[in-house]
Amino acid sequence: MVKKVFEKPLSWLERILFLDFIRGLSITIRHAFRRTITTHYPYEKLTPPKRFRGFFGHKVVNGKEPQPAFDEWVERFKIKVEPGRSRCVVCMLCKRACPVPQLFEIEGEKLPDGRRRVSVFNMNMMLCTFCGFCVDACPVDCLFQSDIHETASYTRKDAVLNLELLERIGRDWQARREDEPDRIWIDDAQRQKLWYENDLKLPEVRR
Amino acid sequence: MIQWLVFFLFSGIAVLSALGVVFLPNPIYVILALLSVLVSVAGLFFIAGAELVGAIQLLIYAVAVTVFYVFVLTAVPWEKAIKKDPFYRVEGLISFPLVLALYVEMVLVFLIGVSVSPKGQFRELITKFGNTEVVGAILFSKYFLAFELVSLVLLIGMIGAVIIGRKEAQTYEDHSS
Amino acid sequence: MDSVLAWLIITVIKILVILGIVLGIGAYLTLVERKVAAHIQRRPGPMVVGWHGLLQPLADGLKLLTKEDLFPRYGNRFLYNLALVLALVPATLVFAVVPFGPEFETFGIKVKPILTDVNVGLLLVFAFGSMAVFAIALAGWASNSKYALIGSMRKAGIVVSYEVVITFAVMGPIILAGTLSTYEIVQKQIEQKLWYIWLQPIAFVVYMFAVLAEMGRVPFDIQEAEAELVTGFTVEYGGMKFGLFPLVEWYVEGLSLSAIAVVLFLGGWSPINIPFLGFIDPLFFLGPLSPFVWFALKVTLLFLFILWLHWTLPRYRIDQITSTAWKVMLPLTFVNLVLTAVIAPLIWR
Ligand code: SF4
Ligand code: SF4
Repeated sequence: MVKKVFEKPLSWLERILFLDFIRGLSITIRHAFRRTITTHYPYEKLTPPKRFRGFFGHKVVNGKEPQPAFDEWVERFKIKVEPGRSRCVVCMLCKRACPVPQLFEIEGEKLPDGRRRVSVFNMNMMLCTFCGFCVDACPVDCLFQSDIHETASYTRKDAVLNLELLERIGRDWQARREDEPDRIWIDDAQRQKLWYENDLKLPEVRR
Repeated sequence: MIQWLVFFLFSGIAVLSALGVVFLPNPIYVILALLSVLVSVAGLFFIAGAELVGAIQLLIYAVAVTVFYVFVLTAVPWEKAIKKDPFYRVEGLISFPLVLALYVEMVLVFLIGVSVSPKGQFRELITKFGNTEVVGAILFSKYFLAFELVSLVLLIGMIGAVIIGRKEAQTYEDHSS
Repeated sequence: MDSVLAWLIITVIKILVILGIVLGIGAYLTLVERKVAAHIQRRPGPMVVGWHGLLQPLADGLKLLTKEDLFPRYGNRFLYNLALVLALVPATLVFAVVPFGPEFETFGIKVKPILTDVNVGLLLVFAFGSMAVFAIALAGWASNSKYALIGSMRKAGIVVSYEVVITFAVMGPIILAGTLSTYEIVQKQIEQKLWYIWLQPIAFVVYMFAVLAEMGRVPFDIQEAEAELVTGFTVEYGGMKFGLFPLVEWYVEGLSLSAIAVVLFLGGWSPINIPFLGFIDPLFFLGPLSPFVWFALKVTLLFLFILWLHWTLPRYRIDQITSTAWKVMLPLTFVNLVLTAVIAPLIWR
């Protein structure tokens, strides 16, 4: 059954005295004299939440890999595990999952000792939709999306992330945020500033 | 001196744009020329000291009436507007005597008006009481009957327009139901 | 000859002063608008260029001037440029009949701070005010774009309806004052010790609605309607040509129409009024400057009120707008006219 909901019609008093106008105007004027709540972007920057879907990175081997998946994949592909380098096992699952697969350029190489490792990993960010499917697909928790959101570049070439860059982003991110609890909003002073008013005003937010 | 200069300026513009109204091929340009005629005639009124008539000329002819023309013409796509459609020659020929009669009447009225007040007695009245007041006084004393008749004609026109509009709305509703 | 020369010089000075003030203030009103809008939405607005963004209009102007001048294919270049002139000239001409203050004397010359005190000033205001519609219609037609065309058609529809309404709305004050000259209307209000808003609240409300419609402000901004028409008739304009339209329509015209509202309903340059008793002037210490300050203050407040409305209300549909004009506003003004005719003899005395 479709329930139709109509707006309550205005009473004559409201129509003649423009009460609805006045109500709206009073709301805006009250807001006009309150503190502004924006961040002054290029001068102040907010830290996005941990699950933010920004630029990509490769997490590096540091002993926190998801086990036993990582060991299994390493075993299967005979991957050379170097601490401090990318965890990638060249399974191409990220490329399979991607709606724009041609943005990936993934190649592995065979080392003289018979083991393998990733040698080329380019991602063309001009084509990416930041959907995050590749991240979900990665079996060893290697590819991830960081909190870097200033993605503009002066040339198209700069929009391609190569392996070195991905590793650097990953190292940086692991150092900064890996231990953070995985929540939507972080307990950040900057973020608090945004919601300071809710703490005071809205009953449902008050703790 | 300055008055004469401005007078000739405005009348020159008026005549030129009137020629434009007749001869320009593109309807949008025709409307613009018409606008220019109306505005420059308003300027002439201002110079002659008939400020009320000038302002009303601006308000009613230059804005209200011409807006409707523009309103209609801007709906013409540009390809059609550039095309030079043939004019309505036969209709023009038929209506020619009527237009001629109108012009003769205008000249007659003008001459009669000059003969009534050859030295411009009204001018003193106008400077004494102000433009608007004089027009109002004349309109509501000497020409009261004509004024009322004209308003009656306008009323009839308005009612006719409303009725025509309503009819269309009804057929539209019948169609949809 | 001497007096003619003096008159000429004074007039030229007046023209320059008025043009300077109007265009300068018009440019700076962009900043005011952005600040008001920002604070209503709890943003700080422009903050970077100059102290609290004070130089922002200059930066905007520079940016607009240095932009590429684009022209739509198959457009009509003559009309496209003519529309700009048609927009700017009538809007600034309105200021010719706005009285900024009472007559004063400097260097032995009496100066009325009004360009021409025509005795049909008000009619001219509305004639010029609605001439902007030609600019918009031509801009829409000449740029050969359907958005522009739709925008201009909507604007023409609105102006045609609200022109009638505004003319009847100002009839009330005109009857009370018994004159069409803007300068004398204010003087009559001072003589009668009465702001006409006290007797004409209906006319004032209707007038404000019509002002919003003529300025293309919310709730009547359907000719711009960013969400559906991009920006209406200015879609195909670029650079400073684009900047000129909002400057004229929102700021110059807005200023002139609020100035006329102040003249008609709020007693022009007179201080705060208690009906029939007199005037209270809290700014008496400014001496002969106080009338000018009062006038500027009232116009500013009225303009800020319009901005406040703009950033509060949603937009009406075109049919709602026109039916409000013809079915609500126009009958209201007629009622008001009859009421005024009944009271007027009491006021005249
Ligand atoms: S985020 Fe989506 S589009 Fe971008 S690389 Fe990953 S899967 Fe492909
Ligand atoms: S899914 Fe992960 S491990 Fe597999 S190729 Fe992509 S990044 Fe490397």
